[in-house]
Amino acid sequence: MRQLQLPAYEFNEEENQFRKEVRAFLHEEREKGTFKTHADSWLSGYSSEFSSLLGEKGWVGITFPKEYGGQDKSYIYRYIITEELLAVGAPVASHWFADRQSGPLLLKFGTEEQKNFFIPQIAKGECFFSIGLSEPNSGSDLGSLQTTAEKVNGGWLVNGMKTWTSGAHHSHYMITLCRTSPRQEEKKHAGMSQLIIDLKSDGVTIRPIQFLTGEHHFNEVFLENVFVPDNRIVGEVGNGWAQGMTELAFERSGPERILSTYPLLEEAIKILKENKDHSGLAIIAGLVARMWSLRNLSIGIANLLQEGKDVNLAAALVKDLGNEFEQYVAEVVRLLIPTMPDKEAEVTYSRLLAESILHGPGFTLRGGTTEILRGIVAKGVVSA
Amino acid sequence: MSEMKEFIMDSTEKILRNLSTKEIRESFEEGDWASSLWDTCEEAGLTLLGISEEQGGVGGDFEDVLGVLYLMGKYAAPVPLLEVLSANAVLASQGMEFGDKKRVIHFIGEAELERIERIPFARYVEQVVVIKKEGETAALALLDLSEADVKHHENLAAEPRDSVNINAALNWISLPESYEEMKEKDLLETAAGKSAQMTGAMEAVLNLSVFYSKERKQFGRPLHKFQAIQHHLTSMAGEYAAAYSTLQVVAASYEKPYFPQYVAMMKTELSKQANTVAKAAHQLHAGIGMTYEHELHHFTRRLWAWRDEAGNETYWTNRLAELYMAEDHDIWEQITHVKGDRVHAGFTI
Ligand SMILES: Cc1cc2nc3c(=O)[nH]c(=O)nc-3n(C[C@H](O)[C@H](O)[C@H](O)COP(=O)(O)OP(=O)(O)OC[C@H]3O[C@@H](n4cnc5c(N)ncnc54)[C@H](O)[C@@H]3O)c2cc1C
Repeated sequence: MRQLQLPAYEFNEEENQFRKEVRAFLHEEREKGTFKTHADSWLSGYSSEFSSLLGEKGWVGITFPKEYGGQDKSYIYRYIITEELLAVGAPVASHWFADRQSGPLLLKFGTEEQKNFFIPQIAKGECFFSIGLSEPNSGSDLGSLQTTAEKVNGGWLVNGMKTWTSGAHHSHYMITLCRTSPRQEEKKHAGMSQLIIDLKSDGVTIRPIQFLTGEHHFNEVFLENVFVPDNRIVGEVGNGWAQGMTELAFERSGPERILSTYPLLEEAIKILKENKDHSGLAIIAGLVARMWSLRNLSIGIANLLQEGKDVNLAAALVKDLGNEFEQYVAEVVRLLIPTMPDKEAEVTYSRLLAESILHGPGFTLRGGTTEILRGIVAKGVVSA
Repeated sequence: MSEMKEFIMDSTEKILRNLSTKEIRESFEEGDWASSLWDTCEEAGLTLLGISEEQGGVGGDFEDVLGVLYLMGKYAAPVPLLEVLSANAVLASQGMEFGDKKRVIHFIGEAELERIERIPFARYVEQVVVIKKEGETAALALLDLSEADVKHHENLAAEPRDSVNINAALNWISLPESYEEMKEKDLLETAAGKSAQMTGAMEAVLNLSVFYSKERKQFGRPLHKFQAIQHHLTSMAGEYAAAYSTLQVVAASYEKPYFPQYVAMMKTELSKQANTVAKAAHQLHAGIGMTYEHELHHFTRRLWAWRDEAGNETYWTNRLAELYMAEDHDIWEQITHVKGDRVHAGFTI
């Protein structure tokens, strides 16, 4: 089954040197107290200061062309940065979506004006995007979404509501998928467009939805007669669905689908080592082997993405298996090192365990649920 | 993939497609040696693969060997290619004659044994290369099987794992190498080879499952239309894809210092996921998969057998745990090979 046979990728010397540089920087910043390690920091760790610090280093939008303020480096470089950031649980949520998908989307489909305007700011780590897909009545079934954009003079008038929008309260813009022509029963994905909505526009109301931890990560975004000028449509009118599909492999195959609870794993290893708990470490070794194996697949995908290959099937598999793994880490370590998980605890282990357990259910939901992913994979293998 | 590798893979797959059929596997299980398959493999040079031409082999590297073993697993080939290759590699490295006879290898430690057990295909091969520990170094003897007393035993997949009584005195040749190092090298290569075979078997199981899910209809629909069945298909596809990528990574690491840890992790994962794949496939096939008639069991029984050979999860994770106990060991450095300000030299496990 060719689509599932990904070649190995070996980091070269230059890439290893780069990894050292990134790691040294992150360890230094952590020592200095610039940030504290958290599990699932790509969803919940907001720090615009830290994002712009990374921007200064050239580590946001590193794959973007130089003419737009990027570094013109491969996806392998981006892989190294994201992986090192997640391994130390750094606060990267602010710029995550812009770096991962909105920037690449605009580079692929955007106008010259859009590229000149947005890409340099994104690369500086100063311009943040949210993803506006889900609505109250459209979750997995995005084909049924109801937010509409109506053509008016010089632009579009948007009405509707988005929900579960991560980081909308921190972001400057939201890539909003909406209907630009009425729904047809047979072609329910036709007639949708991607609009860049400035979240400070008139008619935009952002209301927090409390996360089950009581924290504020995601939001409801109400859109009432929001005017979006013509030059803020991404790509072609009516082609929003197809354009969005090109983001999927980036969205699903990255290290954030495997490493959300890595800080917990590392902390557990530290404790087991101190306790000279050989049998505990043997159980951990099974987890590490799994993580490494999924990482091999994920890196294989990053390498093929670089070559512009279609890796959607394998990407869905990384997300499915990786998300299960991230959840499983907490279930294993809690029995190896019993504690009362507490998200306010001074003890790092108890805190990371609490974060991992409480954020866990979201792993297999966000970015496409397990059930939906498995449907996609099965269709893929059956028609391969 | 190198051109050479592509050629070897293509020609091997052709051989296996014709000669490692369900019928041949079945008659093998009834006691017939798969001679046409074996002879063709020999003629194609597969038993000398990975041994340099100067040493009397046909060249090719470990990556080629793993590629061929992967195919052996994919076609559940009932021949001891991995085992014979291991023995030949050791003889070649000692400058001894090899390739003239079918031999497998066995490490016995210090004890003077009267009986050796779980010898792969002993009933079909001509000699066992026995290696023993002699002080710090090793000694080698060739045990002739023509007159030995071979008792038949099998693994879960009906592959011969016989026991042999050593009746005659053996002629020991002292080797300069450390016994432990020789044994470790053989174990790592065997574990890598088994993992390659298991990855191949997983592909076969996935392919059979996809085929059956399209073929078989219930409630007026092919099975793959049911979401519960889609989950089984995805689970198999995921394990196969991860195993395949991992195998490529390990193949590329053969000469690297981290090869031992890679093998330890790969065999751990493969052994663990063998049943994830086998279980999903049997659930999907239901009744027909439990019959001797359907060939699914040729692959699932091999997965179950091989997960315990060359070290199972318990064995390898314990060895990895020893590594983790070391003061200066760091998991993230191990995974990424980048340690502090230098690229990591790897660990001995
Ligand atoms: C932490 C977090 C952050 C998020 N951030 C964002 C964001 O930034 N932007 C954004 O747009 N969205 C975001 N989401 C929303 C997320 O994408 C949706 O939750 C997800 O797509 C599922 O939609 P739903 O919650 O409406 O569930 P539903 O679609 O109603 O699904 C409910 C259950 O039914 C199952 N189900 C639905 N359809 C099928 C089917 N055809 N077959 C089998 N089972 C099915 C689902 O798998 C699920 O188990 C976020 C979600 C979480 C948890």
